[in-house]
Formats: sequence, C-alpha cells, structure tokens
Amino acid sequence: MGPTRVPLVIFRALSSKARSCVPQEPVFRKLKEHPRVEIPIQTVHLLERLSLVRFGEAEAVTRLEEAVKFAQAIFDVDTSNVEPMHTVLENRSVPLREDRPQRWDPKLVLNNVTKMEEGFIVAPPGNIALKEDERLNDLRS
Amino acid sequence: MLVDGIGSVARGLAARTLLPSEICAASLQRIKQTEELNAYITVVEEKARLRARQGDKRCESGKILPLDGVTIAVKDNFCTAGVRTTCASKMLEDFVPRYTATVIQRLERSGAIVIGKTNMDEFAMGAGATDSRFGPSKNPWRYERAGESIAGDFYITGGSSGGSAVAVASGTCFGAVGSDTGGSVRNPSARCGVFALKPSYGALSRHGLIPLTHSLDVPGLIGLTIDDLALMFSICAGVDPLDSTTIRTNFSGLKLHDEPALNGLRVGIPQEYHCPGMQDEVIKLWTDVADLLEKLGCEVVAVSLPHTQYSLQCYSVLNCCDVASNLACYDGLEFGCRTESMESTEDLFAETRLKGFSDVVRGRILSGNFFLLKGNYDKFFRQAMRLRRLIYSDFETVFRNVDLLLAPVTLTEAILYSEWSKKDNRTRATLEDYCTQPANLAGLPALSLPCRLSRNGLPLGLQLIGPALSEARLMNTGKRIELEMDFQHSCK
Amino acid sequence: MILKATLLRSARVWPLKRNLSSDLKGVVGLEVHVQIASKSKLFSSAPTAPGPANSQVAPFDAAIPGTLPVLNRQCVEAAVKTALALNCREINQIMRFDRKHYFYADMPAGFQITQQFHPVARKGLLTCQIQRHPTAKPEAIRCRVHQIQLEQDSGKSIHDENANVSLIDLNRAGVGLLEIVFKPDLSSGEDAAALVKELVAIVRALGVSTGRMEEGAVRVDANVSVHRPGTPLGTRTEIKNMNSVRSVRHAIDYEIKRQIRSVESGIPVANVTMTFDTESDKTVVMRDKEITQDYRFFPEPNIPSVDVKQMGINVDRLRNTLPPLPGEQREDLMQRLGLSFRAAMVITSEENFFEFFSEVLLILDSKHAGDAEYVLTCDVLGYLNEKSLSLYQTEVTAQNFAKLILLKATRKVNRQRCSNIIRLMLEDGTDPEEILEKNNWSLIADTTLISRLCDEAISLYPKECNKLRQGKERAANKMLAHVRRATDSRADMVLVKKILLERIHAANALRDEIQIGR
Repeated sequence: MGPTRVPLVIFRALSSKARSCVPQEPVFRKLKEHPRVEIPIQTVHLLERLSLVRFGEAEAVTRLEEAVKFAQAIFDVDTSNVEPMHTVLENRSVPLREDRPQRWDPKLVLNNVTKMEEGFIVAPPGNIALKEDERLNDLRS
Repeated sequence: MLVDGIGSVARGLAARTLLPSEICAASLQRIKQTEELNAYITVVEEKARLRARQGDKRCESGKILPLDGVTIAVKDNFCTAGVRTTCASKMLEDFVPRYTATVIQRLERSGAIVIGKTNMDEFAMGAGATDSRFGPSKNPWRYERAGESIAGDFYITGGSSGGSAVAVASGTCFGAVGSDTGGSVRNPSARCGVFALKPSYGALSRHGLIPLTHSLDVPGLIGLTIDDLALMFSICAGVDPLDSTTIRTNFSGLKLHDEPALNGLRVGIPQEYHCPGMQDEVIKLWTDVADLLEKLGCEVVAVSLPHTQYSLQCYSVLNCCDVASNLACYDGLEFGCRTESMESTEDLFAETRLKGFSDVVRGRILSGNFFLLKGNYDKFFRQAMRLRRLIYSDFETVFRNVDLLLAPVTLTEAILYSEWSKKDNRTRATLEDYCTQPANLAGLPALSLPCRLSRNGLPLGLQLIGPALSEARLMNTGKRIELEMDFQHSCK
Repeated sequence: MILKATLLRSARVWPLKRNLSSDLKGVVGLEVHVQIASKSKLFSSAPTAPGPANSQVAPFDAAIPGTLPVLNRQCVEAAVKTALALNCREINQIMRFDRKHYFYADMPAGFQITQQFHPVARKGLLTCQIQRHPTAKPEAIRCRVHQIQLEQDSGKSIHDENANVSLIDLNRAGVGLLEIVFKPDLSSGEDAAALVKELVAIVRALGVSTGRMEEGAVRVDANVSVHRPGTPLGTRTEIKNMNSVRSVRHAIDYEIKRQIRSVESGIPVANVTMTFDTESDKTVVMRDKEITQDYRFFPEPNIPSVDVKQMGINVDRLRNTLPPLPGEQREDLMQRLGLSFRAAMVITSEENFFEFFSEVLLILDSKHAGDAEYVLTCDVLGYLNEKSLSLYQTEVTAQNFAKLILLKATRKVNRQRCSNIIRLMLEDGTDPEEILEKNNWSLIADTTLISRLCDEAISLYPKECNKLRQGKERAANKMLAHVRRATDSRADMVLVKKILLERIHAANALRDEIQIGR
C-alpha cells in the first residue's frame, strides 16, 4: 500500500497522535460580506424567456437573488493564471464511433409522444415570443 | 438472511437451500411490510418474479450467475426498459423508457433482480429525499419513536438517493443503485446505516442515468457489506461505448482481502472538514476512528484542503448551470407531461414546465441561466471552473503525501422531518453537501461507512476519499474498519 | 426549415434599374452549412438516409433523458479534409464542443451541440476564379475562412396553415453539419455565388457532402452591409435560407442595392433577419421584432475533448491523400486538353460532370475532348437545367456518350441530330447507333444533293441572295433553313453553308458574266 518510503517507527507507548489530528473546533474563515443582489426587471423577463420557466411570484426572484449572493463568495478566491476546468477528464480524448448506421424503431424511440399525426410530432406554431409577466413588474417595485 | 449480504445468497443457492424465487418473494413481502417508509415509487413485481424464475432454472442446471437471487432496488432516475422512470417529478410521471441504463443492464445480466424503483428528491435536487412528487421517504431507524412528540413525524433518510438507502436498510433488498452528484449516495447511506460507494468519475457508465450535472454525476452503489459493494462494482465497471466519459479500468476481477492489513497506510485528516454546525458526536466518531486506524498500523496526519470553504458555492454555480442546460429538453413534445396549450411553442413549453417542475427545479433552472448570461458567464461560470481546478489541485497535492482521507459525511445524524422542513430546499441542501461535494468536483472515489449509533440511536458514519481509481484500496481499508466497528444493521 | 408563415412583412421596393454611381460598396460575409454525407449522424447511430417521418431517429436525437453523444469518426475526418482543402493554417489537434441554447420545436434538447471556442480549424483561404462575361479574362476571388466547426443539424418543421400547427420530423435532427464561416471579404452577389459554387464543388470532390443545395445539403446565410471603403462597416442584415446559387446571387445583389438606396436616402439600415422570396426576387424581413438572444454557450461536458491525433486521424496523411480539387481539375482540363475556362468551370462545378467526363476520356482519344466538352456543357447541361435534374438521375452511360462523340467526329451525324440523340440517351440510356438507325438521322454529306437544294434555296429567296451579296451574313439563314428542312435536319450544315456561299458566288459570277456579255 502506498509508495515506498523510509519505514517509520511507531511508538505505541506514546499517546495517540491521530486523535490530535482531528480538529475539535471548526476550521472556518469568515467569508467576506457581499452586497445585496438586485436583479433588474429586464433581466427577470429575459430569464423567463430564455428558460421558458416562469418565476411565478416575487419570492422566486428573491430566492434567485439569494442564490446569487451565496455564489458571489467565489469572487474572493484568487484565480489569476488558473485555467478553467470543465471536467476532470479534460485531457482524455473521447473514443470515436465507426460510421455504421443502426435501425431505430420509432415505436420504441417515440413511445412517449402524446401528440402525433401521420408520423409527425405535433407542436404549436413557433417563433412567437413569450408574453412578459406584468405582475412581476408591480410586485417588485 | 439479508443481514449477511450477497455472500449468503450465493452460498444458499449453491447449497440448494434457497431459490431466487423464494428470495424474490421474501423481498416483495418485505416491501409490503415497510410500505410506510415510502422507499419505492414503483414496485416491479411481475418482471421481478419472471427474472427470479429464470434464476431458478439456472440454479437447477448448475449455471449460477454471480448475482442470481440478488434483489436490488434502483433509484428512479435510472432508465429501466418498460418500467416508468419518473425522477420523482410530475414531468416524468408517465415516462416509460424503452432502454435500460448500462449499469442496471450489467447487474441484470449477472442475475440481479430489479425489484423496484426508489424514491428520491425531484431530479436529484435535494439532500433529504423529501422533495418528491411521491412524498418523502422515511428513515427506518427510530421510526416508532420519531412520531412520539409530533404525530406523523419521522427521521429523514438523507438524499437524494434516500429511497435506495432505505430499501437496503429496511431489508427489502440486498443492494441498491443510486446516483451521487454532491453526496447523494453517501449522505442517505450514512443516515440509514448502510454502506455506499461513490466511484471515480468515469469508472461507471452514465448511459441511462437521467442527468443532474453531467461533469459531476456518477452512479453509486449501496449495500449491506463492503464485499457486496466490491462485487457489484466489479460487475458494473468498464468502458461503455454509449458513454464517451467512461474510462478503462481493471476492476472486473476485483476481490477484497479477507482481513485487509493497513500497516504503513498514510491517512489524512482534512482539517477544513470540521465546519460550523457539525454535531459533537460526529467529531467524536471521526476522532475515534482516526485513533483506530493508527492502532491498526496507519500513519494518521493532519492535512489541508484550503479551498474547501468555497467548494459549496462553486458547486452551486456549476450545478445550476448544468441543470439549466439539461432540463431544457423537457418541453412536452417527445415525452413529459404536456399541457393543452397550442398557442405557440413558447407558451406550450412554459406551461408544461410550470406544471411539470416543482419550485426547486424551476429555481435552479433560472439560477443556472442567470449565471450563464453573456455578462455573467466569465464572472460566475468561468470563475467557478477555475475554482474547481483549485479544489482538484488541493486533492492532488494532498494525495502526494497520503494514501486516502478520513472525513465525516454529513454534519449531523438524521434529523426530524419537522425540523428539516423549517428551512427551504436550497439552504438545506447547501449545508448538507459540505463534506461530500468536493469529492464530486474532483471526480474522486469515496466510500461511506456506518460506524456506530448516536445517543439517539441513529446511525453515524464516516467516509474514506481516495485518489482517482483507488477503489480497491478504499474498499479494502473500509472493509477492515467494517470488521473492527462491526455495525449492527438491525434498525428495530 | 422554411415556415410559410414567416414572411411577415415585405421590404420597400426600390427601382433597381437606375444606374448606381454610389461610392458605397457592399460587404458580404457568408456562413455556409454543409451536411456531411456520413452514413450515420454526428453523435448517434441513426441513419442519415431519407425515410418516412421520424423513422431515422435514435433516442439521443429525440433527447430521450439519459442518452449521451458518441462522436462519429467519419464526421471528424470530413471536417479535417475540408479544413485542409480550404488551406486552414490552424487545424486544432484538440477540439472541443459547446452547447448553444435556444428553444425550437425541431431541436428536442433545447440546445445545439456546436463548436464555438475550439473548432476544427481556423484561418483558411478559398480562392476561386470568375469570368464576369463570356470573353473576359478570368479573375481571382479570394475569401478568407474564419473558422470551420462541426455541429448538429436540427429536425424539420412543416407548418400546417389550416390546423395552425407545426409538424415535426426529427429525421434530420443530429445529422452532422460543417459550418464554414467566411470573413466579409466579398462585395457582391456575383462573387458570393461564385464562391458558393466553388465550395460546393470542393466538398463534392472530397466526398464530404453531396453538395446538393436543392436538397438542403448546402445552406447559405449571408451578412450584408454597405459602407464607403476606409470607413467602419455599416449595420448588417442577415439573409437566411438561400437555397440555390441563383438565390445567393440575386438576394445579395438586391440587398446591397436596397441598403445603398436606404443609406443614400438618409434611412439607417436596421439590423434584421431576412429571407429571400424567390417569386418576387426580393429580400423580405423575416422577424419583425429584434428579440435579444443569449445562447449561453458552455462546454459540452459529455465530450470532454477530442484529440484527433490520438484517435488515429493523421492530418498529414489526409493532406497527402486529398483527391484533386476543382482548381487542379480545371488546370488539367485547360492545360492538357485545351478546354476553355468556361467549359472547365462547368465540368468541375456541375455534379458528376468531372467524373463522367474523365470516364469518357478514358474511352476516347483526347483529341475528341473539344467535341465531348461541347455536347456535355451545352446539350447535356441544357437538358438537365430544363428538367431540373442532375446527371446521376439520367440514364446516359459514359460508353454510349463516347460512342456518340465518335459518331460526330467521324461525320456520321451532324450537330443538330447529335443534340437530339443525346436527349434521348439521357432519357432512357439507349445506344446512339440504335437511335441513329431507328430515326434515320445519319449525316447527309452528299454534295450533289446539297448543291441541288442550295440552288433551290437560292431561287426561292432572291432578296436574301442580294443581301448576302451586300455582305449581310444573316441573310443566309432562311436558305440554310430550307436546306435543313429538306434534309430533315440531317445535313452537315457547315458543308451546306460552304456550298451555299459557293453557289451564290457562282450564280453571281454567272450573272455578272451574262451582264457583261450583254
């Protein structure tokens, strides 16, 4: 187990060194205070449109602001000259697949589609922007 | 029977004192008995009995497979062909995939019988298995006593793979599959008194695992003994051509030593893992086990992972961003609960997502998209990725000096649901993951072990974290601790 | 994906025939999407072949939860070959993928996997030649390539007007695309069209794509603006969905003129997206509201990185084994066979022409190249354009074609009837000798007969004869037509003309003699 090292002599008679390794008090530096986060109403509307998810109520916007405030702690870490890491496998190349087509039965792939017509999936017309939730404007002023 | 683990099944089948169908029937019966715990979303009775009968035939002909007769539960975010897979969300209430996740397939091919799909936090967002469309799961430990002061109260299981942990802890099956993104398999296992393995990122295939955060998710294994975990792991591990992030490993023949020797092992105690709010009994356990390891011949040293304090925030950004992206496919067209709206696709999508997703899920999507906005991407997402590298490097540095780390899993024992529901999901989940998510950020394997009971009679556990692909050493070490601590699984 | 309902508003009409003496110049940047002709899709094993709606869809293409992308080797090789053919100075050994997020019914995942930050290649150059009019000297057009990236195609969306729904077909969802982004080095629709034609010829020659714009295998978007050279670039509009070389040329030219008019009238150009209406030949605004779009790019986590070399794709070997590109093919045709620039352009840009022509010249002696070229680039091309077909959709074979050229070269058939025969060969692949025989179209070169017919013609058209004597060449036409009709178009018309002129001069001489004699 482990790389070869100079063997250490363990003095059983001595009191446990291990016990002293476990910190009996929290090891915690107080985080910097960050200002309150306020998300402008245009951003709120933009997020709703980009996510196609409604905030629904003012509290939801507040929760987002809190989440952002919480995340701001990462600004306090000095990351100059540090490359972003988007996955631990960043240096591994993916294997490539041979170009062999495989048959797929639509009955198996699209068995969960609720609205189909003559083999097509039925959707409403697109490219119509989501209506802005006016109530949020009032609730946030 | 179930207490002895998979080994006892194999012996029973070989000695012809047991048949898979008998074990299956016993499991199904046990599920009925423990229904109140709400561990299962779907019980796969017919299919299980069918597979058990197939196992019977194999036993008769003497061609027994390694996991014949072994009933397992599967977290409901793993696709199982022909069986609904809901992620505990209304969105996927009626979703029936026509394919099975690779790890499940591999277990089944070795004879395992999937007995049911287990409860979880919706889309794995949470640390209690309480935020589910199907109601919370309940910890079997101190179950009767929990409802004494407030009727109907119970101890939470921990999450998000709470259902899977309970399924094993309550004796309905021998093992379970869960998923671990920030601690989701270790957290509930520690709280329910069972063993759990979070493998190295890339060791097990994620094909068929409905994602939370692609670069952090791993399938996790839950069992009654570490030998069981090792067996299941060896069967599941290996490159999967359907998942380009699987890496070549040589775990297929993995077998642990009978009584692993720990002489010369260097164990690190990460100082920063003692965070505010940690229960004194957890600290005492941590100290006691450190001492035990030293007595077993290890050298125990204090080590530092300086960026631990920022890892939760880093995790929160990466998690939300991936969620915002991964959940963009839920629009109701190809699958999912679709509303009637036909005005425009935008309207249909928004309505469907409002109906199908809980507040928690919608909140994370909005947060993620906020962090990914053009003006925020560098500040938040890229910064989080840089911080991730620092956290990863912390571990790299530490593992040059030690072979593995010993740390707590959760801050406290399981808490009462009445206490738990006072805080909102984000706050709750955040603090819970403190000790577990750094291993996810660094893609490292971790093993959580139940060690002893608290004053309240609830399980307390610790985890071992190792460098990438060190599962063998991790499990050997854990097995030795398991033998020494001799944790009793009975939860009555 | 063309939705009928997207033509929301028409652009103002400006009279285009006015002579432009503006100092404003057009600036055109093209973005071309080329569908890769691999057998399976970019990240899934579903077939790329056409089929009934939703029959070529793998779970990953429908974004079924839990499915993951697995990259197709053929697509990566196609990308590298294209980068080499476009002279890219930077071919990334390590490439990555990114997600581009937006919602659309034909894109089930809610994002497209593309390569925003670490593409296949950058900094390329495409040079092509253009002959601005039939007798002009060919000019070179140079256009820099900004980057080449691999990405997924989306499904198709068909709008049903009556029911007010969109019908989604995911067969195309996930097919591999190469997006080739050019720098705004072009200045006109003509140049853009020439560039697109050359690019199509290149990807075909490489085997990377069928290049069939009419099938959507190549789609062109253009960013167009105008400015006075030396000043900052103007606001640009984006023209999408130009599905033929002709549309590219007309749409861009129209848009440049429209913008020039606009600017000169003091009306600023709006940053809108337009489509090209082939019926009115105008660019038309597609979306009337400027919606802020934020694609929230971030790295695709399931494809951590692709190390081209590690995966056994040898860039140097690919470079050395690239097939001859259109430019080289043209050089060869012009130098070795003496073909004109125009002929060489046609042969290298029309689908299958070069392969066909090469096959024919394996059978024929190269001295027949001229004849072969003529029949191919005039008669065959004319037929194909008329019927909107490609050569591979016809029945003609190289052997039969070669036979026909020999018939012409050995004076068994004249140009007119040769033209008729090739049409029939294209239709049903019949042997030319059989057609010649059956229709009795063999060449008439009987000088006695022709002389007699010429005399007939001369006596029928005295006025034309006079005109001809006065030097008006065109006056011969009616007489030639007479002989042509009389010989059922089978006569060697070169010979006929020669004899006709001889007879006329002879008749003149006789007349003059008689006159003098009087």
